[in-house]
Amino acid sequence: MHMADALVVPAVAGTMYLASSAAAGVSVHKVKLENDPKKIPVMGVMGAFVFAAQMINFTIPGTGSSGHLCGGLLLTAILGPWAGFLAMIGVLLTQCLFFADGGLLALGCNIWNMAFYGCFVGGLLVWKPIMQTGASKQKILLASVLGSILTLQLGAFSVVLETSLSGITELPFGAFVMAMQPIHLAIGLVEGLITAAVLCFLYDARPELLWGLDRSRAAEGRLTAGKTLGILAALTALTAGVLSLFASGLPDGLEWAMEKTAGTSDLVSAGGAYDAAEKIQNSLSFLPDYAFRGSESPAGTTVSGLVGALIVGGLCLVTALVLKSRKKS
Amino acid sequence: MSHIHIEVKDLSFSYGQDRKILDRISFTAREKDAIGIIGANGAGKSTLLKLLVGLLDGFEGSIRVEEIPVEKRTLQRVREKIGYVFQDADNQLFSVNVYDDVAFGPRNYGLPEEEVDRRVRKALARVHLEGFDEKPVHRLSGGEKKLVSIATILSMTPDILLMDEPSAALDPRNRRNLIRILGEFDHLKILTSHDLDFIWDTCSRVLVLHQGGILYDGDPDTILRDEKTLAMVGLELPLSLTVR
Amino acid sequence: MSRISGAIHEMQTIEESASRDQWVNRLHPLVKFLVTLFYLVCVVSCGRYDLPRVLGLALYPFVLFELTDLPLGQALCRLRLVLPLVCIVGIFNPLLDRRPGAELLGFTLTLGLLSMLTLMAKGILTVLASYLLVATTPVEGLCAAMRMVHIPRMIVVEFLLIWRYLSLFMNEVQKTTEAYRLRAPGQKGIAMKYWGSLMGSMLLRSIDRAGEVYEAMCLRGFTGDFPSGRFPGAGRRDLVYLAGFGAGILFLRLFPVLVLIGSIVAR
Repeated sequence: MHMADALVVPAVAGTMYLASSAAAGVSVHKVKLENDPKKIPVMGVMGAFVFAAQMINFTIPGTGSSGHLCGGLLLTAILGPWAGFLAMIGVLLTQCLFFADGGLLALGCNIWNMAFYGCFVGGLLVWKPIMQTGASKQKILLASVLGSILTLQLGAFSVVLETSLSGITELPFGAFVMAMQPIHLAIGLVEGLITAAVLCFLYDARPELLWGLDRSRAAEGRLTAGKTLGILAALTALTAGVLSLFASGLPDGLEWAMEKTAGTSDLVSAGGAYDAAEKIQNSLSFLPDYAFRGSESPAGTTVSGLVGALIVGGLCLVTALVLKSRKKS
Repeated sequence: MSHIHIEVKDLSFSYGQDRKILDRISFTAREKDAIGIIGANGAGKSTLLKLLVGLLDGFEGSIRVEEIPVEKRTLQRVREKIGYVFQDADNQLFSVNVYDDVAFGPRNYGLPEEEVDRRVRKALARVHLEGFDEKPVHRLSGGEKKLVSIATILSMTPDILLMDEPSAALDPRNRRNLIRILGEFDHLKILTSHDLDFIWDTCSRVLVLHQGGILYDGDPDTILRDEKTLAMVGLELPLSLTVR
Repeated sequence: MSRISGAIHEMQTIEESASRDQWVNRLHPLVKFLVTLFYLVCVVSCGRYDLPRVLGLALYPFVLFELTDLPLGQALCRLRLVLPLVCIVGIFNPLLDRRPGAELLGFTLTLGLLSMLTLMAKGILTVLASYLLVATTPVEGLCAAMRMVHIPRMIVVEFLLIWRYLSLFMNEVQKTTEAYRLRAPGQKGIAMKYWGSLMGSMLLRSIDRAGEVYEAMCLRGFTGDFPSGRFPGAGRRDLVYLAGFGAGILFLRLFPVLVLIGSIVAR
C-alpha cells in the first residue's frame, strides 16, 4: 500500500511530511538519550534484513496466495519503537528511491501510514502492554496479530483519507474505505501470523533479544490457546466494527454505506466493477457538483491542449530520432 | 632483544557459566613475530584474538599491549595500536564505498581530511588496490573485500595486526596475493587459521590451542610435521608437506 | 527471474547508471535533488482535469532522458509497484463522472476520463523524475544532499547501512528460499510450518552480523557518531542547471504551453 506521488497534492504531502518529521525528530532524540551506540549498526542491519525478508512469499494455508512480514512491528519487537521507527524510515526511503515503491513526495504519508502505526500503535500501544505482564508464545501471537491488524487498518484508512483529501478520486470516501479495509483486515491477519511465527522462534532461541519483555514474570504470562483465539476474535471484530462505523459515519459515505453495503465485494472484483460503479453513481447523483468548484471549465482549453500535445510530442519524437541517428554516426 | 608488544599472563575466560574456553594461558609476542594460532573448531582461537583487542570483557589474568593493560578505560589507546581483521569481511566493511570505509578509522580519530586522504591512498596501495576508492563495497569480489578490510586496518597505522581466519574462502590467486601482502607488513602479526599451509607460508612461530591451554609454542617446522600431535588436536598435516 | 533476483539486478543497473561519468552525474547532488523535488511539486499541484499542463511538464523528463541516454524502458518498468494503487484510485473516475469535458475528433472526453488520464500521467511523470534523480546520483551524493537539507545524521546513516547490506541479505534470502524450493517442489511459497524457523534463523544470523559490525566499528574508534567526509560546494555549472531547469519547469507549470501551441495551430 505504498502511495505514489500522483495520489497526493502538495498540501497533504507537506502535512504528512511535517507529522512524520516530528515523530522522527522525537525518535532520534529518544535513541540518542538511550546512549547505546550499538543501536546504530543494529538498526541499519536489521532494516536491510526486514527489507529483504519482506520479499519472501509465505504460503497461506487453504488459499493460493501468499503473504509477507509486517516490518514495523518486527523491528519494534527487537529494537523498541523509537529505533524501530527510524529503521523503518530507512527501509521506506530505500524502497522509494531505488525501487520506486512509493514516491518521494508521498514519503511523509508512507512513513506515517506504515512506520508510525507499525512502531507506535503496533509496538508501543499493543506489543508493550501485552508483554509487560510477562511473555509467552500465546501472548506473542496475540500481540503480533492484533498489532498487525491494527497497523494495517489504520494504514489503509490513512491511504484513503490522504487520497480523498487530495481530491484525486471520484470514488466516494465510504466506498473507498469499504474497498480497502476488508482486504487489509485479511492482509493484517496474515502478516500478524507470519510476524508471530518469527517472534515465537526468537522467543524460544534468544528471548533476551526481544524488546519490552519482563522476563522475571515469564511464568505469569501463560494464556491458553482458546483464550488467545477468543481475545483475538473479539478484538478483531471490535476493530473492524469501529472502523466501519467511523467510515460510514462520514457524510458522503453514509448514504452509500446504508444502501449498498451488500454490493461492496463487487468493487474489488474486476467483472462487476462497472455495475457497482453505476449503482454508486446513481446513488450519488444528489451530491453537489463539487468537482467544478474553484476550477475553470476545462472543456475549451483541453482540446487545444491535446492538439498541442500531439504536435509537441511529434516534434519530440523527431528530435529524439535525429539525435539518436547523429549519435550513431 | 626486540621490544615486547603483547604480554598475556594467566588468562582465563568462559562464556557464561560454561566450561573455561581458555584456562590460565600465558605467552609474550615480540615486535617482528608472525604468530599462527591453530587448533580445532571451538578451541578458543577467535576468542583469544577478541580478548586481545578488548572486545570481550570479564576475563581473569592480565593482557598488556605495549605496556598498556587492556581494560575498559584504556580501550581507545589499545585499539590505536592494534588492528583486528574479522573473518567475514562483510561485517568489517559497512560503508557504501571503499574510500569511506578505509577512511572511517582515521576520521574517527579526528585527523584532518588531507591526512585521511593520504592514509587511505597509502593503505590501498599497500594491498595493491589503487583506484578502487570509488567502488561500491557490495560489488567487490570476496578476495577484494578481504584486501579492503585489511586496508581499513592499515589506514590506522597499527603496530600489531590480528587476523581471524584470513585465508578462508579465498581462491588460490587471492590467497597468494594475501601471503605476499602479509609478508610486506613487517610488524607483529598474529593470525588464526585451520589452513596449515597458509600458516606454513606466513608464520615464524606457532601456538597450538587445545582444551583451554597452549599445547605447543615454537617454530612451525617442528609442529607442522608432527602428524601425531596434529591429529590429537583435530588437525592434519599441511598438504604441501604431505606431497613432499 | 524471481522477484529477489529482479530486485538485485535493478539495484545493480541503477548503481551503474549513477556511477557513469557524465555531466548530469557530475552535477551537485543537492541541485538535482532540489530540481526533482520542485518538479514533483509542480506536477502533483496541477488541477485534476488539467491534462494539457501535465503533458506539457513531460518536457522535463524528455529533455533529461535525451541528455543522459538512460533507458526509458527500465524507468517505465519501475511503475509496476505504484501503478496498481494509482489504478484502483483512478479507474472509477470515468465511470463515476460522465459529464462531458472536451471534444476531440468527434469523441467526447468525459471529465472522469480526463481526471483518470491526468492521474496516470502524473503517476508516470513523478516516477520518471525520481528515476532520473537516482540514476544520475550515486547513493553517497544522495546522502550528502539529505544532510544538507538537515535530515538527521542518524537517519542518513541508517539509509547508508541499509543500502550496504541490502544486496547481501537479498542474496541470502534468495539462497535460502531456493534451497527450500529445491526440496519442496511445487510449493508457491514457504509452508506455514516453517514460517518461524526459516526466517527466524536468518534473523538470528543477521542480529549476530549486526553485533559484529558494531564491534568492527568500535575497533576503529566509533563512539556513536559517524564522521562524514568533505563535500564540494556547488559550482557555476550547478547554479546554471538549477536556475535553467527551475525556470523551465516553472514556466511549464504556469503557462499551459501545449494549449497555446494548439490554439495557434487551430487558428
